[in-house]
Amino acid sequence: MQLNINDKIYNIDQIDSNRKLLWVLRDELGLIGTRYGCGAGFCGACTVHINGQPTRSCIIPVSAIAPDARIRTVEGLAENGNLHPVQQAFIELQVPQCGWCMSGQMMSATALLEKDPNPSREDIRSAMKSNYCRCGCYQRIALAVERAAKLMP
Amino acid sequence: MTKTWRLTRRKFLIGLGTLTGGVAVGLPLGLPYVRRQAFKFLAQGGIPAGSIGNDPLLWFQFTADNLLNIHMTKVEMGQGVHTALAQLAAEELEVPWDNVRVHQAGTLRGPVDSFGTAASASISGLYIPLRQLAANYRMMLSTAAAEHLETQVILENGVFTASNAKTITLEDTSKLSLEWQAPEEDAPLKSISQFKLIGQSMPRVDVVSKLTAQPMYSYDMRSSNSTTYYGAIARPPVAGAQIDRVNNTTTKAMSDIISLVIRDDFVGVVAKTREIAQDAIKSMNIDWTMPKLINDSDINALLTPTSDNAAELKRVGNSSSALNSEAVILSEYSTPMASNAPLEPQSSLAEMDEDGVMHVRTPTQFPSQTRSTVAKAIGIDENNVDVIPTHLGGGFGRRQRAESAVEAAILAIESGLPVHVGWTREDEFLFDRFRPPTKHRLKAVLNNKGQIDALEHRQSSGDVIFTEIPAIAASIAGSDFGATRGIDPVYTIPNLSLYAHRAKLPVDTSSWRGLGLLANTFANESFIDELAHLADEDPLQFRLDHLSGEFGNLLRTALERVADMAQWPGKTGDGVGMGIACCRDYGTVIAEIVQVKIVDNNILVPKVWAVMDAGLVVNPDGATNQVQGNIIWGLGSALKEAIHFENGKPSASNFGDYPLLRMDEAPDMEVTLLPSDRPPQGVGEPAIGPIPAALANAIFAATGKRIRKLPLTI
Ligand code: FES
Ligand code: FES
Repeated sequence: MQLNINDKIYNIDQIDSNRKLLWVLRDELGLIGTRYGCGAGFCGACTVHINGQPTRSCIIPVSAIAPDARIRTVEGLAENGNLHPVQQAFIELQVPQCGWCMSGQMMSATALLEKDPNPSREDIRSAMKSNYCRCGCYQRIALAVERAAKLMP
Repeated sequence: MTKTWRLTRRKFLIGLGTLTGGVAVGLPLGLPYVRRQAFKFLAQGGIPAGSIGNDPLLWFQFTADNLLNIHMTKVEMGQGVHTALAQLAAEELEVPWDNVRVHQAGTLRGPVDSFGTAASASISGLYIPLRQLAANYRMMLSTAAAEHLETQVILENGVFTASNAKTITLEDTSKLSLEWQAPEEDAPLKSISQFKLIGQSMPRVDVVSKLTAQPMYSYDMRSSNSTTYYGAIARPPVAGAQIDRVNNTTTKAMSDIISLVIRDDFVGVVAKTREIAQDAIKSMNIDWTMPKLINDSDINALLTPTSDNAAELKRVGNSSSALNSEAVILSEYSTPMASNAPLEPQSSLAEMDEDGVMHVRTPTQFPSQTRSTVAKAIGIDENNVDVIPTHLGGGFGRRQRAESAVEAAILAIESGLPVHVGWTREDEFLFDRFRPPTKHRLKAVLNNKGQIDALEHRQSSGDVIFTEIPAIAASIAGSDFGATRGIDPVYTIPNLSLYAHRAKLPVDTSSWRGLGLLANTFANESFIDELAHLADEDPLQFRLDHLSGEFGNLLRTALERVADMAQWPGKTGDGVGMGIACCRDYGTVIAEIVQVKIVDNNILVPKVWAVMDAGLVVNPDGATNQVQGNIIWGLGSALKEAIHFENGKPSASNFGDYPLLRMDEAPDMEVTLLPSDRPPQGVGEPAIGPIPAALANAIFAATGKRIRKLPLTI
């Protein structure tokens, strides 16, 4: 079995296909940028894109991923050494505190901006409401998403 | 080659705080006196940040390209401490910001911290000592550079320039000698007007890594020289249950594991993957000796604030006779247990090297304590335990203990393999060390001018710090200063008494963000609001009328400013209103206004304003982020967070039962930090204090309903 992650093909024949994508990414493929917060779909720390859709990697077994599906993780945000506009905006606004939720926040934000390049504050709040930030960086996250919208090509 | 450090004077640095002083006053004065002194010391003096040693070469190291590497004793959990401490050091060492690199010290490398990272005390505690260490090192380097260039030198931007225009970098100067002598006298420190970095919002040193998927948290740690294996531990069905018998170790799932470790108090396995280890543990059949299964009613029964064995914390005037009046006003408040729930569950990587040194990467706020616990658990000398704190995916007090460090170390030493043990969210909830529940009984009498003549606050709380210190120290201190944090009202009241009742609860309670600050401020500031309304006075004006002295004046400024920002009292009634509250936390004062909107009995919070005076702020943007985070925590606590116990189990096993505040519920926030020449004070917690009271007061303004219990519901 293969997975297409950030446009790279990973062979996972040796891996038990009942395992959740999150742990395959983190423990087997070294892609530790996707984080674990609850393992049950509540917190959003593990958000990745599957075919552009924000998806909780902690609840989806790799066996449920179609062979031609394109998976994108936070490691795939930067391109050719250039940070993604969402990353740039999060740095510019100095968003994180502990930072553990941030990969998930940025993946949700990127999915939103790719669908809606100009979201209102309400759109942002509603699209991102299922990404917890225990440190309470919500206002900065919202401002950074608005800023990223301006930076998007 | 490592340089040797030599002291020519017995004491190189003076004034490093330690936790003696106040508490050690002689017993002949009587316990109540000692208790009151201890309370006063802790309430006013603040908590020490620990001593930092006196060897600059442990802290500072210059490397290629004139980079200054700073080895930090304090751990970074998102509070920005690495950045702020780097600002202090680079300021005095005259190093350009771009040349600063920050590293985490471990118990076997870099400076050791006798305390830990907690209580918002890192910056306030190290403001002078760390700068002094840096300034003294600068002086030593200056002397060496001047000798080398044979004339006087000026240090700018990391380079010494001599009067004959010759130059030498800090890095090259640091290599001129292998042995350094401490100066006879401390080097002068810069004055505030000379600061270039302190007081500036320097970009945080950890932010880019956190946004670019760098392995920096404990859950990301893997062995660098061999394969990492994964451990899982048998968890009892309820906290406190002991292993009685291990019945079955031959299940099919067990056949896939590499190592099984059974000790009296511990059953764990090591496997190639996390999932195999967890499945194996689940397949085992273990008999547990269960403790008494706790229910909420057991806890409630123990929480009675009127009990005779309360410790007296403070007595001014004679409130008991003043309160013996018919006009006494009485209100009772309560707060529930709550969970810390840092978003990253704890985990540790343990690995023994050929020299018998156990390396443990772990999310601990107290590395030295973790070292002792690990050494004891695996029976090796403390000097062979290398505890390396990672970045923490949230700390808030829960990372005072790092249980996974011990678990991983046991599995690593028994299996001879590098082992990573990661807790699940369910583990985090079941074995959380909760914020204790509290009850508060407040009484007051107003005089004929409508001012407070007498006030009494009797508080009852589960343990906070007492779960961490020896019983003997607890008996002398008399009251748990973690539980009583924030109980002393900021107002001038002629007859005031404060009592703390210790409830010894059958559940594990400990530090939660701000410790008792949130609960005590909720009670005090709700009650003040009630008194203001009874006196028929505007709640802001009523507060201002009761302020005097240094901190009273600081608070006055903060209150007036926040009222200005929010245009207090705003529009009121019809389900809309504003509430105000304030507090002092050690040397920091903060005033906050919450705006509320009630829609179909739902409490919505559109906006919060905050004004904080935390002395000189080293990094204003970082401090603002902390205030914003505390507002969110305070609101989560005011609106949602509560843990109950049923049959020995906490009511939450995952976030489904313990929802956190979400982005669509988060208010817009406006934060002002007041300029100040006072030395830096804590910024990581104070803003949490007034939020629940301000919200309850806003609900009263909006609806006329007074809610005295957290979480607030209409
Ligand atoms: S870890 Fe997947 S939603 Fe929390
Ligand atoms: S920054 Fe800590 S959880 Fe979001």
